[in-house]
Amino acid sequence: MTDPLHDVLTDEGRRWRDALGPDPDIVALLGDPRRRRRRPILLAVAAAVVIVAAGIMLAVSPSHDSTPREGPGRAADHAASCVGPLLTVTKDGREVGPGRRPTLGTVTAGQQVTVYGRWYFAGPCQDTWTSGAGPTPAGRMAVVRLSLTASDHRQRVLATVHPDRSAAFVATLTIPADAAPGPATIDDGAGNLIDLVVAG
Amino acid sequence: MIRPGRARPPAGEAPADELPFAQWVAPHWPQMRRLAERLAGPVERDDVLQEALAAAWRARSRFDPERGPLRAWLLAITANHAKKALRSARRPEPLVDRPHDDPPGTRLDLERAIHDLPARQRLAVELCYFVGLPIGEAAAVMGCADGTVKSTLSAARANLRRALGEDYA
Repeated sequence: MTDPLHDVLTDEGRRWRDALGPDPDIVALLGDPRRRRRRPILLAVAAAVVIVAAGIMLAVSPSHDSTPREGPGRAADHAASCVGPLLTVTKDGREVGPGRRPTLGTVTAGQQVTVYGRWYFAGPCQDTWTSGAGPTPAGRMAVVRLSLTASDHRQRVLATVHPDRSAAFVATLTIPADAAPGPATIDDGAGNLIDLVVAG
Repeated sequence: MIRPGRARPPAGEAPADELPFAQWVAPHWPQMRRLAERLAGPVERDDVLQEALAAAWRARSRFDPERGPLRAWLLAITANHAKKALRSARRPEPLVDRPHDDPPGTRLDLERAIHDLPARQRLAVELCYFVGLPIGEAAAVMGCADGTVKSTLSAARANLRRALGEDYA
């Protein structure tokens, strides 16, 4: 290109990039308490990033695993992210960020609702497999009990589900016809709750 | 609203759910940082990046590699959040005050002229010259054809020449 201004801009851009300091660290940026626009989801993202980083550190540690390392540019098969189970109301869980509790809104007694579970791995650290190979059958929870706690504090199991090879499940639950009206929760026994309100 | 472009993704890019989020974003982080800093300034940069990361996290399952490369998608989100940040701040763009005795033709004049460009022209200039993207990637970020980026850059340079005077003719 013969436009002299093109050359000026090219030089100026290069000079500007060269003068930049180091990029902000993703984890530090999200975790900086001075950030004024913090939101719960950002904190959750930061926590997820820290967990991922910790998992990667463990995965690459020679004392942790003597398996030969993958070549450059290839995702390690066993990079762990230690994600916890996710119980949600959408298949991909995109309507709720981590740290926010999903909700089914108001449902009537006797109505059927569908809930989705992901990452129901066994053990304290729920590894994910970045290669997409999925967990071994022994790596996932065998059984997840989904129970309803209604406003009268009565708890009853709505379904017993078995996570599939990818440690996920889809469950269609029927809200009992005699469920007490008012705020209620669906619980997976692993600390994940879904809110709902049973209509009177 | 800037939308991710439609170019085919480069080999090796993966949908969001197949890689941990941080690993997914990290290769494109330097470009996101540059664009945020150029469009919103160093003071607002981190807030813009923070918002962009959160938006990308929320929308990660909707990313479609068939519609465009990941970098373009992330940069489009960053550009949108930079625009929102400036709009919500309701104040002039983050340009350092120019000393009154600044001679014409200085770097600050060029910066001011770039800031005064129409939004699309400025975005094209920032992406191609300062973020350092090739035309094709800038087109993907802007959601247009390569030729459109070239003509937008040409119009931007014409406007800059008019603003800067004969020093850049």
